[in-house]
Amino acid sequence: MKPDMRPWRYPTRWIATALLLMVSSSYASPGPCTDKSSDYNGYRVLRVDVKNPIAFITPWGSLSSSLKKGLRLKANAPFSLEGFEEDSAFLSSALKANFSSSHQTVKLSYAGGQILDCDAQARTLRVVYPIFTSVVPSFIAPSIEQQTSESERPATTGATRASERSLLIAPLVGYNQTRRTWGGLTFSDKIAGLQMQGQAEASGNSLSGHFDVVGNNGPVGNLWDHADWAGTFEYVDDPAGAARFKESKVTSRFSASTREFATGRVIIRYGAAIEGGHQQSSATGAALQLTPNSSYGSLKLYVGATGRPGRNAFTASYGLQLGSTFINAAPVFKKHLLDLGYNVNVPVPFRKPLGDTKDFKGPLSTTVHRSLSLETRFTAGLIQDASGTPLAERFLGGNAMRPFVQDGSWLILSNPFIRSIPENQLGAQSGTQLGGSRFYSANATVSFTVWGRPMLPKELATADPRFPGILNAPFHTAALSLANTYKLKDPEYIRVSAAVSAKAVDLNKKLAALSEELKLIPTATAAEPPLARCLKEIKRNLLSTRGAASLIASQPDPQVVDQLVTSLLPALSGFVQELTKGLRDAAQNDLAAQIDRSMTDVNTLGNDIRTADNLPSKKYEDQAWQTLAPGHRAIDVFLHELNIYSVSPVAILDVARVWPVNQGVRYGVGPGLRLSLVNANFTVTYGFNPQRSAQESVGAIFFKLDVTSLF
Amino acid sequence: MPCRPIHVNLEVDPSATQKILLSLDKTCDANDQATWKMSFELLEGKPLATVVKLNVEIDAENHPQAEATAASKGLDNNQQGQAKIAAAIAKDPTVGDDDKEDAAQQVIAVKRLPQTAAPVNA
Repeated sequence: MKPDMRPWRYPTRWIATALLLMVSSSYASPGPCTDKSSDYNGYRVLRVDVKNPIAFITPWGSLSSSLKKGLRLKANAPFSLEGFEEDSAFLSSALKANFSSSHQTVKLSYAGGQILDCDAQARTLRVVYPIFTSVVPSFIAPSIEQQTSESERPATTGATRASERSLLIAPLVGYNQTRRTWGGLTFSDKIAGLQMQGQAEASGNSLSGHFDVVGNNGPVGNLWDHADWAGTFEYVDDPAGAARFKESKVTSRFSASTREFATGRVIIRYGAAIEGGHQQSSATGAALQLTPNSSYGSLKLYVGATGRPGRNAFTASYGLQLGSTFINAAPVFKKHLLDLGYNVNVPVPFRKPLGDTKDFKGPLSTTVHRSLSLETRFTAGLIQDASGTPLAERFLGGNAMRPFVQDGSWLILSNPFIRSIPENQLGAQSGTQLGGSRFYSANATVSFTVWGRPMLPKELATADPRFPGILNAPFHTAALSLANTYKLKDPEYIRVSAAVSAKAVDLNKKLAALSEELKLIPTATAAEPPLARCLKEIKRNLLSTRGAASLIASQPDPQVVDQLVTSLLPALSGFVQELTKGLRDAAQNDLAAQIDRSMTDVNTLGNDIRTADNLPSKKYEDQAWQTLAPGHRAIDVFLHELNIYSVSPVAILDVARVWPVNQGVRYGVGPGLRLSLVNANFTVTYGFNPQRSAQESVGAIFFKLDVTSLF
Repeated sequence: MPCRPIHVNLEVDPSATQKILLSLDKTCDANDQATWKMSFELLEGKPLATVVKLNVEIDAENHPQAEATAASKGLDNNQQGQAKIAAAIAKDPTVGDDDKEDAAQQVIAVKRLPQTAAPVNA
């Protein structure tokens, strides 16, 4: 068992969250406030709330409380339309001011105002300001780790991706049957673009920790879309049955992942690590052939695929380690690891995931979102030429996961994981066969949400008809903008744009000529009301049309071309037709004919531009939507699946075996419970050990409390 | 439905040297009459500096387009194209302020409403 008890980072924010939960149940159903806002002047305001529906993917989690302080309307004070309008504008300004903290291509904020629960008799009401800001993460791998995290920490995964990391220091404390009571410290910070993170844990019989400096790179051709490199120092001093092992090493690691493939939402990951250090093993019986004290070095190569097609998530990883203690008689050991995982999360009642280009829509539920979740894992390992393998690198199983490499975004299990046996106990009990050279383990966890409350505030789910349609605006705008940018950069478009530019130069000349011809209209004729209105519209149109032609002449832009040929020129043509009819009525036939000819030339050039700029946009739009898809999916999940808190019964089934340690196949089966509270998650399970030896207990409790920072 | 305030801010950063800011603000007076205002700001260069800043009260005839922009699908291709045209016009020293504001107003006016089959007058 390995409790991971991390105190909450910002107590005040958590107290605020808890208070929110407590008071939210006291909300009455929104009453109708159908009169104009000024009719409520003088009513007593019972409550003022700022509701931010997607705090979990934005760094605005605490904004609601901080912004509330700046509002003019206060609880138990009179309502005024002026204050209501000022507050809404203030919130808008505050959200806009924080755009600078994000590097997204497209940012959107929304601030509104609602008056609820109006009571004409008591002359009371409630004020709610819904606010929204969008942040689309630039890199989110569709990995199984992400889905597992969303399942275990539903409110925080997005926030972890989206928020700028800041200094985090948190103490750790826990109990483990192998290590007993332990304490420690975890921290992370971002300095000069580098992520610094570390963790240290100590107990009466163990000491472990690591310190990492992590950097990352953006896309490099087809080699990778995202890459991490890291330097890590690791230290471990742990008991393993009657023995113990120590290992300290410095690791240099590089890992990368490809862009997400459109089909199946799959990415390929690969990496390498080289490590060197020192190891000690305290049990050195001849039969064990363990090296008691030596240098140690290894090369690790690993590759895998992960993806999140539909509601599923999978991972498949292979790792190869070539290691040595640099002792002449000891051969280089070769460790092979295969790690497979599959998760599925099904809403109950079933609901298909929203397509990446589909609009968000209601109805939105105001009750708990229930789901059935299944998490599975199968891991196997083999060490060739195991005689020279240090104990720390042999296979020891239990209810703690040991990663092949220290990489928070990619877990490759390197040991048998079984929740009914304490850490390092599987493969460490016989005394003569310490640590295996082969293993497999399989794990299944099933949970079902039975109780909770949805993340979406009731005010937004039911009282504001504009929601969730308002969320479509940034995605559609961004998709079109991105698609246009992709098209502009496409060599094929650059090739056709030369012809578009040339036609636009000619068009500009014709528009100038048309403008001059309009000046030939006699003043008295031009002043006649129908023609005057027409001329005004034409001059207004010509300003934009000529502006568009100039822009296209210097640098063709598909959106400007689109506006020119589908909107501006047809409108101009219509007005000119109306004008020339009026001119003919005023006996200005020659001038009308001249203007008609010019307009015909303009239309011809417009058609030429439309023909030249005929590269279909669909593939660029598809590419843009694919770029935006992670943020789109996150919001869809938020609207229809996430809860602010929930309780889920859990059932586990584990099977594991380690050779050659004379322990046979081991099982773990038992119940559990998961409580999720915003971004704090407490999961407890008890794994019974049905085939236990005399040395073992009935089973082991496995629980953890983890918190991920929202801010 | 009674008039209630809406404030939407949209920022598009096509490149490191260009930023477009668009704000739509709906306010309500004591008679429940809505007023829509739009501000448009273009920043260019390195470091970014304001090249154009316009504040426009949207004509009543364009209120449906403003509402659709804020609460539906944002800026469509025509509106984004018109925004670039308006930015170019705003930088032209030979164009008067009224005409600059008018070109910016068209960013909203060209919104294609669902029931609009023909192009909107620009």
